[in-house]
Amino acid sequence: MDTRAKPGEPILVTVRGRPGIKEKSEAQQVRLPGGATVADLLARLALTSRPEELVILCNGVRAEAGRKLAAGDTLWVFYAMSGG
Amino acid sequence: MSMTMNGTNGAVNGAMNETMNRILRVDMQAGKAAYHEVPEDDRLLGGRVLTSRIVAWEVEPGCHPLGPANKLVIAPGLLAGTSAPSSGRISIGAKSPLTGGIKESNGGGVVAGKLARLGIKAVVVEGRPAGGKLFLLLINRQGVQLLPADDLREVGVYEAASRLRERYGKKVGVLLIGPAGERLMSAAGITNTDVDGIPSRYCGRGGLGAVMGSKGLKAVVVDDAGCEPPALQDPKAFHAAVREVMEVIRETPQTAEVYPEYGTAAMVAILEAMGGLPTHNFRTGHFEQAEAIGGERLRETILARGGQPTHACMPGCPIRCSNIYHDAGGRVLVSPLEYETIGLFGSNCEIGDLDKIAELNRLCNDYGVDTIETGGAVAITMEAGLVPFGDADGAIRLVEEIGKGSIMGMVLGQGGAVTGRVLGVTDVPAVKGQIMPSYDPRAVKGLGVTYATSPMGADHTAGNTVRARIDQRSPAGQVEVSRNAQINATIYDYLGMCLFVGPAVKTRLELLEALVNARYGAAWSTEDLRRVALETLQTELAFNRAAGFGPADDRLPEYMTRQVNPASGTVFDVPAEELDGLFGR
Ligand code: SF4
Repeated sequence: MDTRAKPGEPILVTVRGRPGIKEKSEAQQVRLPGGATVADLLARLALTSRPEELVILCNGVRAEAGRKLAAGDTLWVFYAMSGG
Repeated sequence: MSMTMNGTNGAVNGAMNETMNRILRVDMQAGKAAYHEVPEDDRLLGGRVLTSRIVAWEVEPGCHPLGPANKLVIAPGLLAGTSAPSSGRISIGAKSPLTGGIKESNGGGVVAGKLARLGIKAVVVEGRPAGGKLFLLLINRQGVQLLPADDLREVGVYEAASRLRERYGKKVGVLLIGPAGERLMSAAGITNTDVDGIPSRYCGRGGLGAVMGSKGLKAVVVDDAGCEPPALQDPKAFHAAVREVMEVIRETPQTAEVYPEYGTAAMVAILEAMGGLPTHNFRTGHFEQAEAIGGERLRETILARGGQPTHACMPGCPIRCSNIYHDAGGRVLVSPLEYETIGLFGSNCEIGDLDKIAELNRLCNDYGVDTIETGGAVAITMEAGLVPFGDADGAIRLVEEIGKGSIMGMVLGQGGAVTGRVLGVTDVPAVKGQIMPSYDPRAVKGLGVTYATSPMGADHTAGNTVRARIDQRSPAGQVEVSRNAQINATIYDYLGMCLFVGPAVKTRLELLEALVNARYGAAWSTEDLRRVALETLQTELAFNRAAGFGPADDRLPEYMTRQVNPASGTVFDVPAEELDGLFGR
């Protein structure tokens, strides 16, 4: 099945695992307008404070705010940190 | 033998020097110790900068790491003993029996602050006592004593720390080795007591517990009763800088929310998302049961059992990334349960059960072995087919062999590289003989560069790039990112500051220079801190070259450049010439 939306059509992306972002911890599907970017997604999730501290992975690869999203993308959003 | 040691170099027993400028030298062979004044010009030496300088200047690079010529150097960071937040980490240095190169291993706990309040910049332990005797070193305001410790022979660190605190008072700080260090195992670490007196804060990496064991030293007991905090040259400026650091810690989500609530276990989900969570002896970066060992599950479990999901390992840490994990019966099992242990014993051995991982952690702590090295060795044993992946009880039985000192235990206790050689496993995730921490370097390539090029061997604390704003799977730009991370990590190790302050001060490094300047009356800039860090790295690299290391040692295991990590779809492909150029060789 082709999960890519036609231009202008809404897209459905999956947002998973947000350690430390307590209010939305379980995976969820988010509907966005076609052509939406990572920044649009963050706004939808109300993750607008300190965006410079966030790391966003789109299908496992680092994505910056301007990246356009496609239907079926899986995103991970978390704060940049390291273990010890 | 019990003796009070008198200084032989103009040193004095009991006299406090408030500027923290004495080095205590302990000759285990002669049974003598002396305080040596540090010249005023060297007042800005501390932490890793001091341990590496002493090792590089005084230890013959070709010496046997467990012979009398090696030295064990214990040094608080520059800010230890002050009210600067999270700044009481300790550096321990020596030639490593695990890597064969220079080593600085870093830990939390209370000992660094107490040494600083005693005016001690470093303790240098030299020589080896005759007759295989075991001692403990007692340092207090009255002087220094080397006391017999044969009653603590082969005693695990929990029991040993408890007896020592019973004997010397609940407020002492203790540095300690377990039976593994006494048996000269290369995976042996040195533990520090935490704020509750629990010997849980390990300087785990590089086998420095074996170096301490080779000196016949079971414990260092540090009693700072009656001592004042180190003098501040500009108290007003110092306290202003402390307030600002506290403020940025409070304003930064990682230090204000994530570390305190989930601890480092939050990294499980992050590495799983990156395809870099070591699984099945680093065969892949994806673990089906990642959620079962992640930060949220850890927190829920701790809260349900009445443990503590947040805890400070040292006084004055507002971040409190540590935890106290209880078993199902509500009894303390281990403190803390951290990401590296969860990664190496959990996903890497395919054990999806936090209780079992905590049990493995407690055993390792008690015997005195590094959980990264030992988790890696157990996974290699699983790959050899001695125990199936996922068999938690089998893993526990293996680790118990270390405690028994059986042949199998002695092999595991020598670390992953030796275990691989003995069992015929060729794909061993190690650099310079040291097992990789819990980040697959094919998915986080900057860390791969750090593993390859750090003088410390595969060590995430030597320059962790996982936070960097870069495509972690691309080879481009990783060398620069790693170089910066290695310099920054050296600065933190120099100051004795916890790396987890990093997210808060990363754009406010002038606060670190302000703390140093106000404490010591210096006029340093951030550039000065970077220069000293780079000089230290160069010193360490020169030691390693003199010990026989060459470019071929600055590589990841060859199989990681061929075998794809299926979760990230990548191999490690940062070009060798870029690795060689990192420190301008
Ligand atoms: S953040 Fe964690 S490791 Fe660092 S000083 Fe605080 S409790 Fe210790």
